[in-house]
Amino acid sequence: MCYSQSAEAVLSDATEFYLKNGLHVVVVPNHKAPIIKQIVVYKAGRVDEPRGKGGIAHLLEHLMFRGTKKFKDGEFNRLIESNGGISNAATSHDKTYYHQFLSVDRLELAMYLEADRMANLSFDDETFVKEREVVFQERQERQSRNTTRDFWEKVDKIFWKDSLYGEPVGGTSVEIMEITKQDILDFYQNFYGPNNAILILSGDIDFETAYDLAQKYYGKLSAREIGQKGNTEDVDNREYRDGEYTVRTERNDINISRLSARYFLPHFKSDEGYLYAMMVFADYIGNSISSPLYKKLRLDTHLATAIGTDFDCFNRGNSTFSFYAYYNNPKDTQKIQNIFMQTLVESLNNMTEKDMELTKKRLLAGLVYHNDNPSDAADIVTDWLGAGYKLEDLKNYEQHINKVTLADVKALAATLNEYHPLWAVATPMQEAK
Amino acid sequence: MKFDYSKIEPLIRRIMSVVLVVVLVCGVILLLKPEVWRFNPQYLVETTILKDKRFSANVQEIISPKLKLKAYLFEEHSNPIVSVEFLFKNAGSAYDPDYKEGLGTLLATMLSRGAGKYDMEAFNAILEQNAIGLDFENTKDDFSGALKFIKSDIVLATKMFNLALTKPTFNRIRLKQAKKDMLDNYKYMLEQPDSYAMLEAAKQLFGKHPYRNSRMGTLDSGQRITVTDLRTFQKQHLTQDNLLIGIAGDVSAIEAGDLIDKLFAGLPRHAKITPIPQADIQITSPDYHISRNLGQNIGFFYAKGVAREDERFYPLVLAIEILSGNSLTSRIQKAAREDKGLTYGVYGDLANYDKSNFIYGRFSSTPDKFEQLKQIIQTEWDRLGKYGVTEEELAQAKDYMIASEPLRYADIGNISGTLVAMQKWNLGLDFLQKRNTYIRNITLDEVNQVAKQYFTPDNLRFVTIGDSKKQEQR
Repeated sequence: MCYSQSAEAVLSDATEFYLKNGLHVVVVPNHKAPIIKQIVVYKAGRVDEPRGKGGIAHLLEHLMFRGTKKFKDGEFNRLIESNGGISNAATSHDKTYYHQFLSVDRLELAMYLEADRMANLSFDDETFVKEREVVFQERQERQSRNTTRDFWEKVDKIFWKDSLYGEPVGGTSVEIMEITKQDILDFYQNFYGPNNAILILSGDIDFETAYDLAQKYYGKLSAREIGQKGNTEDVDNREYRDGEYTVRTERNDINISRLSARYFLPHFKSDEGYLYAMMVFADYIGNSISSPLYKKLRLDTHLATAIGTDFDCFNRGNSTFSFYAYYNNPKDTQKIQNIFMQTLVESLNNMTEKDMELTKKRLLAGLVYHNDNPSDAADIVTDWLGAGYKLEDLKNYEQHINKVTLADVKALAATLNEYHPLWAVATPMQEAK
Repeated sequence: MKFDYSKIEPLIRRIMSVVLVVVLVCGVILLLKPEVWRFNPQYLVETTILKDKRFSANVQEIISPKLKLKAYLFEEHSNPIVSVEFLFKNAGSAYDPDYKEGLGTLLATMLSRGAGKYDMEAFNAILEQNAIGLDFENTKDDFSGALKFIKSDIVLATKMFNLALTKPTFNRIRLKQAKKDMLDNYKYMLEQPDSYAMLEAAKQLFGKHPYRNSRMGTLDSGQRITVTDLRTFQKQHLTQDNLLIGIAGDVSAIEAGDLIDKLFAGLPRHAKITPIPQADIQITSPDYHISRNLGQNIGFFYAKGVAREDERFYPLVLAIEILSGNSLTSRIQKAAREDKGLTYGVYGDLANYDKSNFIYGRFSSTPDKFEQLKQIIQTEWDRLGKYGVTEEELAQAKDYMIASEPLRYADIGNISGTLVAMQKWNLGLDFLQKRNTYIRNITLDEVNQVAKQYFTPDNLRFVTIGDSKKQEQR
């Protein structure tokens, strides 16, 4: 099957190599403008922290901006900013990454600074305490930005049970204030070696130059002994999978009801075929206007204000499949739940070759857009490689999707029918009569 | 044979003197050119092997052959994709009729909920399967939209776009659903502290002016909107003489002219617009606090600003950047975040509406530290007005604005958006060539003049939301 002449060109120019110290380098050339994005991904995040000591990876991410042996506090930001760079960082359960998007003639400077802080982090006690306060404020900020966030954190904990994936990435407020400077330095020493990192250069650069510069700035760093990583193996001990289980809350701070159904799925690495088939199914059932769920819950009944499905396979641990809906009338909860379950069964039974073909077409149609924005391309590479996929997986995405058969989809999506999802329902407080 | 030292002594002397000269010369070089031995960011940028990348931002003005519509075009042939952005002036939410607030938003939704012979489902399935991006939306002032497609789909994308714009069906069931969606979205906005506070702030700042209205209307305004209202608004506001177009991507000037004629064929010629008055924000009233139990208090600050066309525009933008730019190096970020750990973030910016220009910013902190943070903002605000900025701060802010300029070319959607903005604000065809020079030429005096005028204690008003009790306890 061939869907688009251009789609096969998606990030096809991307290449990769390893430095002697173990640094994995990915180059995505894009010469349309003299700009480039540098990302350094450390393959360590919340799940690599000790249990009960959440927030170390995230606080370290903040402190990486606050000085090295060579540059005093504030210099990093000042230099990047006066060179027109847009710079930030982010922490997730699996990884921590740092990025600068800038004019290509400033790239060497950014590489110099990024390589420097990979080896020479240095901050004093006072800075540590202040930055911990900032992180505490950030935690509060995130809580208040989203009204129901505390509820979803509770649901996460039940969903993931003992796994650290169920813990908030940045730690709880209590955990944050208990982090010590030594915790930070240990995490840095354990995981911030070039041999636990990926360097991504996406923009106006060719392979040879990228190779020379990577060697020049990162080549002299020594590999480190990488610490014990968190357990991301497939864990299958979730009681809610054996029976109906709904986490409910009634709140006086919301007007609109929301619910979600979440499925705990095997680790993607266990079967590659499974992965792409699941991508196709998740998209088919709820991600477009033609999808069975959209038809039933929006076009026909209009019970929901918004719905969607999400297959999350971008972490090192188990993947998840989820369905969510926002709706106005709390009394419709059961109806929406029933429609979802019924549609899931029906879709598995009734999905046709034609449905397959249209879903694949939709999934692949827009791939050429990835070649436009070098910043977006770098982010995609970060998602895939940060979760443990290979660059080849990403480059062969189209072939993988095309190879999926209807039988594959039906066989694997049937696992969704074997277990119950974890339901979560948040509705507005009903006034007493 | 015995070794005769005296024979080679002159040779050694000569070698020694040469070595001495070399060492001295090297020493002098090292002293005079510290970049050789000490890290020098400027030197690294100037000597990089990645310099002198040639790039020209060539914007053409084109006139479509049939409809004679003007557009700005930026040709970019490295990827087979095209982005068209456009806006209809004076067609934003401020122009919604009284008691029918939300009309423009509803229209934007309904344009892609069925057009021509296609019902909502069929219409959108075609877009999805061909990765055609088609979006309509409105701001306070304008009704705008974007179309993005793969070059090989140009005929299909053009047809679908034109159908949406000129032959929407406004199906009754879909309209009823869209009204309910808008109402639900409005109710959702009321839940969220940020958006709720901003809705309340708009009422405080704009009084009775239509800028006070939410794009989503009110709890009951949506219900009053009829199909006739949609058609009337469309006919009066979405017209050829009201239209600005920017195109970026894989099209030639000839192709682009043809494209425009097909995209906008069938639009009425002339707009019929009831103008809205000027709206200076009201800042003389006292600060406004909304009580709500939150883990984090949120504040917004507002002040009068200057228009986009005003010659003080760049000086003011630079002053705001220095005070509260989004980066971590602004004065307030430094004082509140870096030095005291009081907040995760503070930012400020200049907003230019057609009829109002104002500075606005957002900050947040836990209730016990919120007052202290607000005080820092007030202090830094007054200090900037009183003493201005330093040469060094100005240079840094200029460097940032100048060096980050090429990043606008990352995304063709962003480029086509810039082309529309250039026309909206009359910046000229050569704006992209001149913009950095404008900034480079701003003097310290100009910045400090505008700082003195605008960063005064009486040109600052706060709207805050959160827990006021805990604030008092502290």
